Amino acid sequence: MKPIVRSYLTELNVGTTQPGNGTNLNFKDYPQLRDIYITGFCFYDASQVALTPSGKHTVPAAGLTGATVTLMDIYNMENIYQYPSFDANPINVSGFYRDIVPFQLQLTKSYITVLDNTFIAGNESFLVNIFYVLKKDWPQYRALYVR
Amino acid sequence: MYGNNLQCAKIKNVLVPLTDTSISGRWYLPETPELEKHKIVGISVSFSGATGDITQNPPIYYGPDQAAILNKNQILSRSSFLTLFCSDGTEMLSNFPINPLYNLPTTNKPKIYPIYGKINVRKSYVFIEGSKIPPANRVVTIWFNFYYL
Repeated sequence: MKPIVRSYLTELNVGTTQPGNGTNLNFKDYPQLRDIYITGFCFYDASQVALTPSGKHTVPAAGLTGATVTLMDIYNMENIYQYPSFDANPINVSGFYRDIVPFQLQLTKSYITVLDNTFIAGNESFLVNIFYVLKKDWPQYRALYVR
Repeated sequence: MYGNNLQCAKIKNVLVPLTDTSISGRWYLPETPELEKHKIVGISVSFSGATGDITQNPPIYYGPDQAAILNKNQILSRSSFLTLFCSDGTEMLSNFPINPLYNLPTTNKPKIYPIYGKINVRKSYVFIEGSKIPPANRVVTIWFNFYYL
């Protein structure tokens, strides 16, 4: 695993009712996550985080099996396209988080797609931890992420 | 530890007793000068009640409140978050869930999260989403392990 210079826990609430199959849920705008290089990410389920910082219930592990994540860069390219969210949970992959070749993330155009809503209830939240380096700090840290 | 690409030179544990004296659900980390002087390369948390964990048996009591180490199965461990600040005062980890910091000994491949940089310990804190936590559960200690150069 590559070093984590900074991390930010994002929460994506599904809304008051159960989301339909095929629904895209967009990430909110977090000022801290503008102008960043994303270096990795991971999902958590209800067995690890029962309540989010805002007091919502987390989507269970079975719910993660029915969702994927798409991460866009600043050029509107889908650099991570429909990656299975279950596979991004460290508890399912021997404790590893998913580190990726860094790119400039455009979070507000990134989204989670619900493919199977059977185990996702209304008012639950997806928890996605974003690992990143600020754009202004990138020259200082880029050597850490050389393949 | 397997999974980290930077070797640490030293390990320091930081114990955060959770008592009911917190303001707005935050418990600040105790002053730890040796951590502020060095670059951190990893972090993990130890729980009680977990197979293979150093704090499993017998129960360890510690701190001014004689508080037990947080049990991994307590709902408190799944509603607690760590916010760490960089030495420049900006947020390094923002609401990092504490339960996943436990290094999964049951997989026989324990991992530590390879955080990287200098931290401001005194500004850093544990946040607990308090609405669902019974007050009796709060008198426990969270045991962090910091790995540094």
